[in-house]
Amino acid sequence: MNEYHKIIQEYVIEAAELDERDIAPDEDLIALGVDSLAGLEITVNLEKQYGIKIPPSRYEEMTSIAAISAIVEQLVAEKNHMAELA
Amino acid sequence: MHRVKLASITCELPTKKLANDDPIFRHLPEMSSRWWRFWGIETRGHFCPKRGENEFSAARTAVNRLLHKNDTDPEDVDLLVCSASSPILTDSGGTLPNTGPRLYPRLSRVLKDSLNLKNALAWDSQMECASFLLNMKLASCFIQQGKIKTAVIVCSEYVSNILDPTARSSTIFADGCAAALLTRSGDFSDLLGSAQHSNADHYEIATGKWRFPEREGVEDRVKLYFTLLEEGQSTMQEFVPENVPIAVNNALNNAGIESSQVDHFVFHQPSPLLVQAWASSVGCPEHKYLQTMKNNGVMVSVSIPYTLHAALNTGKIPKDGIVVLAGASTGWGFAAQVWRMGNVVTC
Repeated sequence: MNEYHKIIQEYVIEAAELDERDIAPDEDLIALGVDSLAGLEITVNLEKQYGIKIPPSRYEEMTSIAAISAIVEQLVAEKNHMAELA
Repeated sequence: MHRVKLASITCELPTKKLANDDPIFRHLPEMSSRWWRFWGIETRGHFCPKRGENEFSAARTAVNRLLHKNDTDPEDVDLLVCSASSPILTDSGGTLPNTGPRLYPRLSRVLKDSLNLKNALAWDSQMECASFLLNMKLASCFIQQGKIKTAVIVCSEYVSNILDPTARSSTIFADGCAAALLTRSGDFSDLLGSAQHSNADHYEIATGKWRFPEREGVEDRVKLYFTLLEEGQSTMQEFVPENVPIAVNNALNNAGIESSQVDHFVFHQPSPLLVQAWASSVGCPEHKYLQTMKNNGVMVSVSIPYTLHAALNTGKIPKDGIVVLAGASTGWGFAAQVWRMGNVVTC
């Protein structure tokens, strides 16, 4: 579990009102009951937590904790790179 | 072309506020914490007819205050544009022979008669939650083209009159009224840019329908009710978060302004999550926008002017500040405007 998994899992459980448990990184979030409403809540929380903007074009990729984590990791890296250049 | 100025703005809210545990909500199905968290509303105002409150009385009070505080003679008002999202109007203030509920004449006609705005061209428009933006744009066009000098725009929402007390959506909406005075600008203030677009792909998810109540507990007869489809709340998240930013970016482009140059953003107030998503998408930091839905609910077209009024009153907008107004309406429509503000009288 990488550094983002735990936080994403917390946001997923809260947004979809799931019982506390470990969610496998590649578990299908839609099958768990994460709909677009919960997706918006997860997205907004991640954007606030990490100071990033997740483009709407990437929403469809956000189907598992591993997939979300990869997107966040990439956007955080891009943000840090931009900060270094500035 | 002339410049246009938002000279003054005022709001008139219901005296009665309802909390989430108010008895009026006793007929609702079990409500999830997710519902309350998404909408972020703790109290909302409903007009109290026993106290003489309705869409007309609020509008009359607001416009009277607006004209009085700005030393504007009713005869100097050239244009009056009104909006009321509830199709049913409840009061004509004695200007019509039949005092019962009606569909028309709409609000502008009775307001014009009641306030003696005898030189005003008066009409009603409708863009639900974005009606204030539409009316600002319409009035601005007349002023910028030199056809008029003074316009009054009014949004008055008696939406509690069409809420189904057995439906969860009845917890979202609230009543209220806002009025604004627009004049020819003698200074730097102006409408710098605007944009609007529409998409009816999801027209059916939020509508007004004649139907029976969703659940038992109230009189079982067909009435006009606001109707949010079961899947409507989640379907909205598939297109509303990205379309308001599209309108904002188009308006900024039209104005030749960068997002970072904007002093304050005023968004429609449907949900904290939606507002945060919009803000994040247009590069608006947290200190540059307000959220007002917690204590006031979603006041349909009044949410934007109320939030603008609050921002002006709390010093969020400098005298020559650049402000973006943006929102969405059911149907669906999306609109945004970029204004350079002058000295705005709030009352």
